[in-house]
Amino acid sequence: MATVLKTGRPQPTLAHEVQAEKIARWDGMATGVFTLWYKHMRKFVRSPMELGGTLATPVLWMLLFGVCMDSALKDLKDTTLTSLGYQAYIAPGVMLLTGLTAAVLGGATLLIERVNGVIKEYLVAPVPRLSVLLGTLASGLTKALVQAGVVLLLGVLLDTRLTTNAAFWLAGLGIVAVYCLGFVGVAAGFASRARSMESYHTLIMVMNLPVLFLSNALYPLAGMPWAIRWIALLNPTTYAVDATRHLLYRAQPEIGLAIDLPVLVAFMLFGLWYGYRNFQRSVANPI
Amino acid sequence: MTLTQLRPEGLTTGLRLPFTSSYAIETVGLSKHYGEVRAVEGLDLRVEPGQIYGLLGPNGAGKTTTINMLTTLIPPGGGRASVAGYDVALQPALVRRHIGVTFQETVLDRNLTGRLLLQVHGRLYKLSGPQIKARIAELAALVELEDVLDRTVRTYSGGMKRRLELARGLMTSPRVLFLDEPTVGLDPHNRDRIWTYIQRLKAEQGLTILLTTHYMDEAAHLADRVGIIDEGRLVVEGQPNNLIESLGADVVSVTGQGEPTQFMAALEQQEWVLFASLPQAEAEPGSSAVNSAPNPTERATESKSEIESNCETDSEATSLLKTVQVGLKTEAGRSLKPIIELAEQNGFAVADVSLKRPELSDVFFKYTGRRLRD
Repeated sequence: MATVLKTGRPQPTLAHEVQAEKIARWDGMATGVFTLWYKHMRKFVRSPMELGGTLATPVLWMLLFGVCMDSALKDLKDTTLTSLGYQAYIAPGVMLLTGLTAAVLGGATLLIERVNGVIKEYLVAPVPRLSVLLGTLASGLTKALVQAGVVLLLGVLLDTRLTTNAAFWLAGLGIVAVYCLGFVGVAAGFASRARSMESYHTLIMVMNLPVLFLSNALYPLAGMPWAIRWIALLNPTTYAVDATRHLLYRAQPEIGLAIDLPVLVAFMLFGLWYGYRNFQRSVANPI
Repeated sequence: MTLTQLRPEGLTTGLRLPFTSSYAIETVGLSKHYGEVRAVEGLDLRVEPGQIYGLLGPNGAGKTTTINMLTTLIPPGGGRASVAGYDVALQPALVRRHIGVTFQETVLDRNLTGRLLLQVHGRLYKLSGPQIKARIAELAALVELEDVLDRTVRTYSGGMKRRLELARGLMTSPRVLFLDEPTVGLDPHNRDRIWTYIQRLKAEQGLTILLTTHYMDEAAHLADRVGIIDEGRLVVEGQPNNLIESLGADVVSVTGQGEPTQFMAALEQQEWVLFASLPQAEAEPGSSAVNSAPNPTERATESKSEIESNCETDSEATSLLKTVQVGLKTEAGRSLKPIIELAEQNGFAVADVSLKRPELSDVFFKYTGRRLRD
């Protein structure tokens, strides 16, 4: 019975219907992710404030804090420190902090689009809802990596002796990516839960500095009181700093890659899961 | 025969069959409850392909919830709905390919240019580069935005934003276009423009449009069919002209004091009376129904002296005023005097009389007992 409906499509069979929907549901995935990424990047490039603002913090850390601490610490005998110089010592931490800030701004993108309703444009478009999340994660990660790269270059200019082996560079950036992706996920999760921009920022501000202080980014684990050390060991930043410091500056690791890598990957998976779960919840009833 | 007719109980196998329809939009018992609030309650709609259907109702009537369900933004709470021949609940991805939407509130990235915004939208629907380019040129001409397309949306006026959104909804050549209050907050000039575009679209592309509005004139002007929705239900439906004609040639509103029951009974016995009704919710202190009736086209000035002589009301008593609406079969002219006489004979002290040609707002008044206010 090949009747044609008034809407111009042929009367379908059940199998055809089910199959067509299955295909339609996922075939917009790549399109959705890429389009969202493209749009966010176009916006990023168009707003020098975002780029400049995120970079200001690490520049201040490296220039002011790093330079001053470097001269203050000259006499200290700690091998980890003296073998590197303090600027090089904090460079991985500052780089990761920059990536973290960029990741948080990536989450903010999701929040802004949800609050001002732009997300509805995506939700009625033929792209899977997951692609909205993945596109935002992708753009957040890209921003984080670009800015982490800038900090790395800045470190070179400030005479931190980076390893010359390009393979280690790539491995180091890989660590940054894994770390940032975890935080982009966490930020997307927060953004999906937050009711307003204000509550999101409060949450992020509270999180931002402890992530840096309660880690080995600015001082070695060995020197910490045991309580702080325990908290630092729960902080993924500690593992990312340990790994990147070892990979990029050939410093003696405090923990070792064998532990750093699994911990970071686990954190990344947790972040992505958290972001996904809360995002799903927020789009199930977007009104 | 549709699938659902052939095998209505796919449910027995644990598999729900898609609800397909030959209408551009069809809903059967569509519902959505939010806790105690019944936003939409058993809505049955049918929209023919190529039609402009106006869903008319006050704020909070369930118009936007209905659109949200039909555009797959939220899942239906109950009932079934088909858009462009696909089931909204079971085939949302297929529905999304064939619809265009403009939302009630402005949903635009203020920091992008109009052109980039349309490009991104085209990409989401997998249009090719040249397709996007051609379509943007075409639509910018339609909504007269060629000159500002490369400016950021931030600099656009409200009317321009609305027109840009209309262009975005049309970017992907949808089969069904949803316009949720397309002209709300626009000045008359911009309203006129949007109306012109919508009419042109219908004439040139045979698009099906579901439009919600709380402006009576908008629905009367644009829609082929109008459905009046109140408290989540469809109260009445039909062609705007037929709905208006069903009210009779002229409607006389008689405002006065006293018990109108007898008066109304007497009226209904007259052969020139189509109906006499006493809509509720008009007992708002300080405002008589006649004053709040929008656009009275004619005032029955010739009977003013008579009214005044019989008028015993003072300002304190206005809160007791009641308004009886009398639908006439012929034009009012000679009926005014008999109406007033009937009122007096039946103990209804007339304070004011107004006369007008019926409009869609009177249809709404008749079926919901309320006036639409902005």
